[in-house]
Amino acid sequence: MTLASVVQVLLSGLQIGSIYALLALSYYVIIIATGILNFAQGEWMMVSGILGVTFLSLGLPYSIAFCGGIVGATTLAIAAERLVIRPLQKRQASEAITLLALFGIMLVVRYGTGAIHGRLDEPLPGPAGTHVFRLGSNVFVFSQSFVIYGATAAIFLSVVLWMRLSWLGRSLRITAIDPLAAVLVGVNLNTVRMVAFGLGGLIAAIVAWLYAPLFAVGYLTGAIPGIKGFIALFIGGTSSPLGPLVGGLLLGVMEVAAARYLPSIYAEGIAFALLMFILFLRPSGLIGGRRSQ
Amino acid sequence: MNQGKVAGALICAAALTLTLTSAAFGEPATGKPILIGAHLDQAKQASYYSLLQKDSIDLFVKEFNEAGGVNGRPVQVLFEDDENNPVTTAIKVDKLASEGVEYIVSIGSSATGLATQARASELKIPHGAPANLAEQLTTDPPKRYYFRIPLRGKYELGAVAQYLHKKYGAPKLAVVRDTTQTGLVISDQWINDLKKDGFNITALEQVTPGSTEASSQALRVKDSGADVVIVVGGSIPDLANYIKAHKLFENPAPLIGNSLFTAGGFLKLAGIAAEGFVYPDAIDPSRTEIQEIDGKLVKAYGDRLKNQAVALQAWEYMRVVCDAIKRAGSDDREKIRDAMEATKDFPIAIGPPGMTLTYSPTNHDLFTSPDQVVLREVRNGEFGPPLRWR
Amino acid sequence: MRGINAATLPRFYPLALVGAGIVTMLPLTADAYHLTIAINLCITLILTLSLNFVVGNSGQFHLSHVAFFGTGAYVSAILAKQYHLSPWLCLFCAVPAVAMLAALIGLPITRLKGLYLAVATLAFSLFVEVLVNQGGALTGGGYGIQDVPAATMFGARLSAKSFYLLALAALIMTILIIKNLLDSKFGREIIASRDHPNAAAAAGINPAATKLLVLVIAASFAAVAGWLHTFYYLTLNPVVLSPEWTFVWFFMVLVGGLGSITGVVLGTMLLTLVPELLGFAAGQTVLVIGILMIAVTLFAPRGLAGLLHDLAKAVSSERKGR
Repeated sequence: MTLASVVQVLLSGLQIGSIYALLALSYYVIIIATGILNFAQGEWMMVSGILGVTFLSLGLPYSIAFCGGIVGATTLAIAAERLVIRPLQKRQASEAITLLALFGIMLVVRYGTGAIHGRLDEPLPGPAGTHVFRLGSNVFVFSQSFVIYGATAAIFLSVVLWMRLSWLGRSLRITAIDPLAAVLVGVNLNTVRMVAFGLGGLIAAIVAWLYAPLFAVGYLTGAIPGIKGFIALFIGGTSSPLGPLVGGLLLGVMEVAAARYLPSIYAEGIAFALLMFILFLRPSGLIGGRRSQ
Repeated sequence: MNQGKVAGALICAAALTLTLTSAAFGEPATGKPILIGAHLDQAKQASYYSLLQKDSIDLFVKEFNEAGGVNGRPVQVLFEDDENNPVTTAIKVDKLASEGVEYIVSIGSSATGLATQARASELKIPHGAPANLAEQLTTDPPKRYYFRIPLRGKYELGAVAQYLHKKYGAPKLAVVRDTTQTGLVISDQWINDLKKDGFNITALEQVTPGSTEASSQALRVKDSGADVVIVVGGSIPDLANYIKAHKLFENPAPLIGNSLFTAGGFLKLAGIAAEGFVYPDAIDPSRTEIQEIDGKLVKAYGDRLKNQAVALQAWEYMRVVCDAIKRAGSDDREKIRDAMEATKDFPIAIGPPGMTLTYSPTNHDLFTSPDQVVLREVRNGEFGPPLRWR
Repeated sequence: MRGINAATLPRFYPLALVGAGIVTMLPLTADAYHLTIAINLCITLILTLSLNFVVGNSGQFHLSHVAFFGTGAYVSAILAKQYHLSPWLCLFCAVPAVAMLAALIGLPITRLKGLYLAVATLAFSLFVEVLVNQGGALTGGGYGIQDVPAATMFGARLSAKSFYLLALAALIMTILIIKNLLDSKFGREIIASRDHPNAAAAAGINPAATKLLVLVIAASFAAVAGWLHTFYYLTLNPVVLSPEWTFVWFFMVLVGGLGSITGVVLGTMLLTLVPELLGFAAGQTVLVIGILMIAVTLFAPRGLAGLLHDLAKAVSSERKGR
């Protein structure tokens, strides 16, 4: 367990952890505004990547593919909210029914994409190429890593500022604290819900361009990151945006550390073990405190 | 809930039922078709090579039927999804059997191929695989109803071992595999045989399907000081992740794989990391017979089917099976089995030039020696020509 | 949610019973493939009925059902293959083992509700899946377990047809036990703990204990289903533990109508037969299930039982000339 390997673990862990943190954030904005855990978040990420791959294969320039993928996935997220969630909320459907509907959306988007686009994974180039930098003799950082760190910081900061300064953002926060009071103050819950789903979809769509260059994108790509995203959220807690950030980074570092130093049985299960541990002992998450919902 | 909604729901249910049942209506047959069953992985890890084989079989059957089929009767292939799960496979074999198929072709992974071997043998239906590599499929004596043509795990491994000895002497090896059932089956046999051959295995790493982490494995392999890294298994995307990490972390050790990597998508996924990757192949691309079949596949399906070994093997396998059915002169499964076993000096495009297929009661395989195995290298982003190293 | 049971459909009940009797005896005349479908259906019904018991009747949003099923299956297989226990004895070991597991997992999460309960139990389910996949020689890891010794009766290996009767018997017992529990005083305690936990506590009922007991009972049934699965297929694979199954069973329960035994039976039968109806489009089974999930939640949230209930009401109100 050399210093070099610890540094490497931290760098790799923070890298994948940032992605988990962003996905957790996308779950966060939706859950605080509506109380809904949207299983389909991973799928929006996948759709953004698949659209990107498709546009690139049609010969469109990178920036167009990038925007197209993100806009497409976000639109899909908003469409799902309007077509499925809104009627359910209007009918005051139970939590169980809503979760089932979201699970259904997840299946349809995932396997529908598989049917339309095909089953093969495709590579997606990152915005910064694949340059490798060496620190010392044994520590590697990749150009994509900087993109990831930077994007994560930027997105978290933007979301926090937006929630404090913009009218829509403040409406979201008020709804999170007390929906009844929000209505009294003139907030339209339908609009807030749509904005929450849209923002969640947007964040997930951007994540695709951070994640896919490391691996590949195919119709199954959204499955595991989707799960890790909400695990990270519950580990960190839903009382503030710090929750998804801490939860995600911690999960990432622990996963990589376990994979590096422990036999694989620990590495694979560590995410779930950690979550159960937290939920049993401190359900409000690590950054607990006043729960917003 | 008012009557309107109830009526609406009933109409939806009726429409749904109609749509679903209409999917069960087939196309009208021109003569009593000869039914061949096939199971494949439609959506999981093995779908990479399953779907390529299915496309090849579809094209072959179309051509074959247009040329008259078996004495005027068309061949019809019934495909079932095995979900890359041996339990599901056994159920689908039962289903195909109940539909009266005369032969079952396994175009899924080796794990499902093994399940089919167990079940179809019980049901006494001749069956086999164009591209299942697992050594366990070949037994001594061979299973009575099982016939295949792909490289045997034992021989491709034997060729790789010869190559390692010739080129590197006594290199220290690291083995990287995926944890799908097929991956474990194939890699365990490689590890055993490599050890028996005297190689020192300094590291054994696993990549879990769908996992997001291959850098730890790559770093541990690097730390182990292996001279050559063997990448072997059943799931291409996961192993491609390892190969990319291997190159990213600047590990100079050369990479050698099994013949799985000839299936679609590997080159695209691994990108430049695949450059220099050495792997065994059943196909010698310089043979004109191969170029002819390849041309037909590319014409029908585009570059996606270019140079795809599993597709070429599926084509040739169907050719052998249809020929046996013709020679059997009957729909009886036993007679078809006997006709398959009687196949002698049948020219086949797989393997080195001049290769012919001969089955016998003691041999149900095409390949009989590691010297028939071709080793190829990925060059300039393509599956390159055969290496001349012997 | 109120249960909609057979008492509200008096016209259909005797006919349904006769129909059910005929249908259940049909598979005895069928070939191996259809027998397998029938046995699968029995196993799935045991699972959905027990899931309904926990989620519908007792209102607990437990998503770890598949973990109990899988553990029951694996414990049975390991005991039979590696420790050479008789398959029948395995049943009496697997069920208590899973019951204890359920108690173990149920205790720490009694405080959790709703979404937190769902996520915690989902995490547990995923964790069990990982454990089995990494279990090495014990669980066979990715290989799974093959060649489990078959159950024998009077010296001969149990035939597929006999196994079907065994599975059917297990299913009927499950239905009878659950129905009797619901009709008893305990059943009333379950409903009270679900709908009015504070009033129930004031009346001397312990809601947490009641809910835990329901979970343990449901898990035991899941273990029986696992045992049946192991000794029919004689081979196991970690796929059997995938958490997606819980959602599929949950969907079957919902399609039928949460809380209603008749509904759950109908929903399960319908959804198990969907892949058969699809025929050549079977590759898209999951996609169709997803579409159905959305359609059902949007248009028929009280499931088939709800639809039938409303149909019966609509017909009877028509007759009364309203």
